[in-house]
Formats: sequence, structure tokens, C-alpha cells
Amino acid sequence: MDIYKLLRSYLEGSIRQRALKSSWTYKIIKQAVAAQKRHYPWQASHRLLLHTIDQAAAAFLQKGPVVWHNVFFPTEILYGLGAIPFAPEAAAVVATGLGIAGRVLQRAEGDWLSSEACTFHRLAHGCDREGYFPPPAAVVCSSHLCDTAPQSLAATAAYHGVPFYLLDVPHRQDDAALEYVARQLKRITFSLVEALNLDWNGDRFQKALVNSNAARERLLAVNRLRQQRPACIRGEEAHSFIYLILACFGAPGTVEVYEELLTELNRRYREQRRAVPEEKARLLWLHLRPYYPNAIFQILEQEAGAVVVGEEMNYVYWEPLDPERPFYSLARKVLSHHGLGPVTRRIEAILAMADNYQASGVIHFAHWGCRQSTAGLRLLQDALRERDIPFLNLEGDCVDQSKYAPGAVRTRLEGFLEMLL
Amino acid sequence: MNNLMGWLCHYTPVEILTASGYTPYRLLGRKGNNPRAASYLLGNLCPYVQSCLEAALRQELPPLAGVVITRSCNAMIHLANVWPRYGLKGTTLTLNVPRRLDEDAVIYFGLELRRLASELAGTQLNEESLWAAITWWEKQRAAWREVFTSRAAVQCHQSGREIMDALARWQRSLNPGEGEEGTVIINGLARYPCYQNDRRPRLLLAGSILPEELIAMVEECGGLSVFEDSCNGRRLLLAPAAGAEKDPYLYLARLYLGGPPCPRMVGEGEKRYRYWAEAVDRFHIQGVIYHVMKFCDAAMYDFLALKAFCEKRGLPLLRLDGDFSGGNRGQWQTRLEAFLEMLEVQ
Repeated sequence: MDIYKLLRSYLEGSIRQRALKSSWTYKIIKQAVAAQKRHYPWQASHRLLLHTIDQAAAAFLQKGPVVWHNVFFPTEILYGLGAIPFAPEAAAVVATGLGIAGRVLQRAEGDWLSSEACTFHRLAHGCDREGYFPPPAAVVCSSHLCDTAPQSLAATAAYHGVPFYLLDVPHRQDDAALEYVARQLKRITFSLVEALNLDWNGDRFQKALVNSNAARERLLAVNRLRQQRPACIRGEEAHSFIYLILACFGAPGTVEVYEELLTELNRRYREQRRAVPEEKARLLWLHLRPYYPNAIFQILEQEAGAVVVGEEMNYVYWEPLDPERPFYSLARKVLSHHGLGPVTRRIEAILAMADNYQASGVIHFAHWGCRQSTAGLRLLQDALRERDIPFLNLEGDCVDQSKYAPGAVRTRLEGFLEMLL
Repeated sequence: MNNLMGWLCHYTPVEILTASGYTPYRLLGRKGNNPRAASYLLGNLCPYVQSCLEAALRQELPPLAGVVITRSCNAMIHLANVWPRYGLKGTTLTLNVPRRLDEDAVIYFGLELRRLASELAGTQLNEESLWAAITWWEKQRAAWREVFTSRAAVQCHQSGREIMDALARWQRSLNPGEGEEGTVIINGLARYPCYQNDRRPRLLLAGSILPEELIAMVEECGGLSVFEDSCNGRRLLLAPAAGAEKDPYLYLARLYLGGPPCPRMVGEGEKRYRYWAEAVDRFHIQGVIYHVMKFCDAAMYDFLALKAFCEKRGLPLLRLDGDFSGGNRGQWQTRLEAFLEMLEVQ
């Protein structure tokens, strides 16, 4: 079943924004998805979709104060406060699936948002100003990795006239930085409590960190399984779970999804149910992927047998959190990100991933406008070359389908595969 | 010993460089394209940063003992990554600059400055020398701020081009021990002839870093730049530090974070708004030109904020995109002439 087709049918014409705010939309979609359970190759994907629909319903139906956040902000805080997190960058992906990307990008352009800016944020801008997103009660954003997110989210907060809280993350991992980030996290937390009139519940807050740790443990176990040969899940299938690491840590539903995925993966490894009939190469995928229909994974995995066995975005870069010291451990998590600080940290992490996953090649998807991931690639390329690991920097756009050139992409992928196989 | 220390971002505390025995030298890029830099800094990255790397790769810079790179935006962060490997020989030092102004940020930045000082000096920096450098730089900036203030008067001032030329010279090779060159530059400006009965439209030019050729072109086309809101313009001159502070690092932290905010300071949107409002009122601004540096995320969103400000104040606004290469002249000229014509009609 095409979930987007179903959603599109509810979002046609002038009732489209109203449809998003109707509880019937979510009831019908959820029932339709639930009825299709057996048709999902992975039950974990099915559970993930139901979890996402619940989250969307809570946000769009304003079942509580909706707090917008960027994908690098520690969401444990928002779940711990009982607020409803909403990640506009992730929601922009849904806009692509719904086929409204062209229209909302035009809106962003009409508002003078330059086409040189990240398309995720241009889409989010257009969706918000066109009324497709639930209005925020507050906006939180961390400054690390992405320069656009703080700018874009601050502009959104100003547009809606709601408070904006910036988590300023330095590029060092020393005690001073830890203290600085922890103090900010604490202040943001209690500012949200005050601004949104939330009930502070210490147990609930600690529970969010416990959930986060449980999700982390399961994700680590999933990653360990995926490091085995042969691969039992295709990269295309595994990629959708990245949403959890970007927007759902701290939620109980996240633990359930990973638990289901782990159970299914264990079974498939026991039964040796291969992801592809013949595994000819193992690839590591860096950054994100295009979220509109495309042939990239078809070419790699199904045609060539080159399976994406690991994703940089699914990398567990942080240590378990200490629920007794929530702000310090969340600060440590934020500062542990391998993309923070000198690029050598990211390179070391990627080389370790290449070893652990026994990857014979690395593909980086260079999303248009994403300067944090792309600009330092030359040093990564050099490091991979020293290790004789073939590398492909595939340029494109994760959410703007008009930038997708199927012929050129096939040519580049086939050239890379020729070198690899 | 070669004692030139390169710096790029205006949040770099030049006082610490001076007190450590270095002569601060601002890297202001070069004209032309940056093909070599583009092969090291992939993707769509700030042309100013690319231009500085290109100048280094082509050995067009004077010999530097090193460079201080602030991790103030993505482009700078990536420059700090590639500079030691592909740029120049010498020390590469990095500095974290908070994106907010509050007591926690001041304390953190103060610690960062202390660390930078010990890395630069190789030992604990003598606080007396640091205070001496702070005093010297503040005198210089105060003189500059006076020059800027004089431009608020309708009858008498220097042109924007003259000011920016002098500021560019002032940012390079300046040291108290080298003949008070800064004072000479500032005093030299006072000898420029006054522009009497100047009827040219008074303009505010804004952007991350303003290319000199843009200011020249604005004035060639018949406008008068009286306020340059950029990191090579007014923002460079900071603001006098308020209150007494015994710790020189905390003093510097407050001085730099408390100056006119750069668009990167996302938490300081309201302050930026007030800064524009004051400039418009005090300098009798009749029109605004925003130079959006290609691939500068901060400038792209800053433009939206300035656009909202101008709409509210009924101020005409022109957006010009540029890549810091000295190109775009034809397109800029046509649009500038049309804009200035509109201002004259008004």
C-alpha cells in the first residue's frame, strides 16, 4: 500500500490544511496502515509507521504544546517534559512524499529564501508558511553541525511569535564545554516548563533518559548484527529507521520499534535469509539519501548486489546517559557527535565503521546546500584512498526531485561499481 | 622572526595576538576565482573563505607565523580543517565563539580566550601586556568610531569607499610598536575634503563581508555609503565595553560578544534589529543595499530579517548576490542604477 497515495487523497484542493487538523484523517490512515500489517516485509517498519502517525496526530491535533526542534537537539528533554516534539526537517521529507514539494519550494522562493539554502529548510519554511505544519508553542535548536537550522528555526519562532531557545554547542569536548552545554540544557528545560506552563515531573524526565538508553542498546545490537556477513537487511530498508535517531530518542515507542527490528533481524540471521541473493560488495552510506522515488538502491543492491550494510546516521556515537545526572549526560551526548570539532574525528569514526561493517566501498550523498557534511570530504577521500577503500561522492538533493537526473546518477553508480566489483 | 599572525573573523581578539608578540594580519581574500581552493573545500562554500585559502595556496600572502581561525560558521570550521594540511606552514589555532550573549557564554568565551593566549604565547600571557594591548586597540577603535559617527552629519563626511579603503589597510600589519600606523591612517581620513551640500542618496550597506568594489560601484553610480554593516565595516569596531572587569579575558569576552552582532548570533536577533534602527535614524538612511554572499547561510536568513525591518520602516531595499570574486559588475551596475534612480525620484 502506498501511504503517500492515501494521504494525498486527503490533502487535495482547498481542504488540504484542514485535513491535517482533522482527527479523522489520522484514524483512517492508522486503520488503513494497521490493516496492511502483513504486507510489510519488516514488521518493525510497520510499527515505525504507526508510531510516526501517532506522533504526527499528536502534533497536528495539538494534543499538547508542540515544540519544534532540529534533528541534532537532544529530544530526550522534550519527551521528558511531556511536550510534543516536531522536527520540521524530518517533516519536510513527508512533504516530498506527498508531492507538494514543488509548490512549497515556490513559496519559499517567493519569500526570498535563496535556492542556495538547504532544501530541507526551504521545504520546511514553505510548508509552515502555507499552513501544512502545526504551529509551534516554542522552538528549540542546537547550533552544532548545521548553520542553517538555527537561522531557519529562529526565523520560524519570530514568525509565530513564540520563544526560541538556542543550544550553543562548542567544538571542543573539554570540561568547560561540558559545563557550558549542561547549564544551557538545564536552563532551556526549565524555561520551557515556565513558558509552556508544563508540569515538571522528575520521574518522567528520568524515564525519557532510561528510554533513550534502552533504544541505544537495541540500536547497538542491530548495528552489531548488520556487521555480520551476509547482510540480511538492505540499506534501503534500514534507512527509514534513521528517523528514530534524529527525532525520537526518549520516546517509549522508539524502544519498541528497535526491539521489533532486533527480533526480526536475529531471526533472519539465524535463518540466513539474505538481503540479496548474492552479496558482491558491502557499502557504507554517509549522510542521508533522496526521499523521492529513485533508482539508487535498486541499481546498487538489487541489480549489482552491492548492499548498503551501514549508515553513518545510524552510528551510536555517545555513551549511555545517566538518569541521575540528566543535563551533564545529555551534554556529553551532544558533545560526543563525531561530526563536531575537527574533521579528523568524523574520519576516524567512518574508518572504524568501514572496518566494523567490513565495507568495501563508501558512498556519500552530497545533499545540495548541506555544507557541514560536504565541505570536508577532501580529507575523508584522502584517508579512504590511503586505505584503498573506493569512495563515491554522489551529488544530489534529498528532497527536491527536480534535481534528480536518473541517467547521470546511473552512470556514476555504474562507474563506481565497476571499480568495486 | 616572522611575526605576522593571520586572522579572518572579526570575533578574533587581536589584543591577544598583539600581547603575544604577533602582528595581527587580516586575511581579506583576493579577486578572481578560486579553482585550487575549490578542490580542497568541496561543495558550495563561502567564497570569502575559499578566496583566503586560494590566496594561501597561491602563496600570495606575506609569510605568516600562523593563522587564528574562529569556528564561527561552517565555512570557517572547514577552513580550520584544511588549512594545516593544504594551506600554509605555521601554526593553525582555532577558537570557539559562542553564538549567544549571556553570562555563561561570556565565561565560556573567556576560558577559550585564555586557552588561545597560552597557545599563542607558549606560556601564561603577562596580564599587564594584555591590558596594554587592550588599551591600545580600544584607543584605535574609539578613533574609528568617531570617524564613523561623523558620517551621521549630513554635510561633512568621507565617502564609503575612502572609509573602507582605510579600514582595509588598518586591518593589516598593525602593531603598537610599528610607528602608530593605525593612528596615521585614521588621522589621514580627517584630511579628506568635506562633501558640502551632498544630495546623493544616503545608503546603508549590509552583508557578511562587503566587497570593496561594491562600495566603489555604489558611489560611482551616484549613491553615498554612510554605514557599512559588515565584518569588515562597522562590526569590526565593536562597541565600548560596559562596566569594570578585572579579568582581561572576561573583559575581552564581553567586548567581542557584546559588539554589534554578526548574523551568526542567532540568539541576538532583537539586538540586531535595534542596531539597524539606530543606524537608520542616526545616519538618515534613505535606502538599504544587502550584499548576500553566495552560500552564506547566515546572510541568507539575515536578509529576510532585514527585509522585514525595511518593510516596516518603509525603506527601499536592494538585494545583490555576489561571490567575492570581483565579478557581477555588469549585473550589479544595472540594478544599482535602477535602484538609485528610484531613490532620487522618491
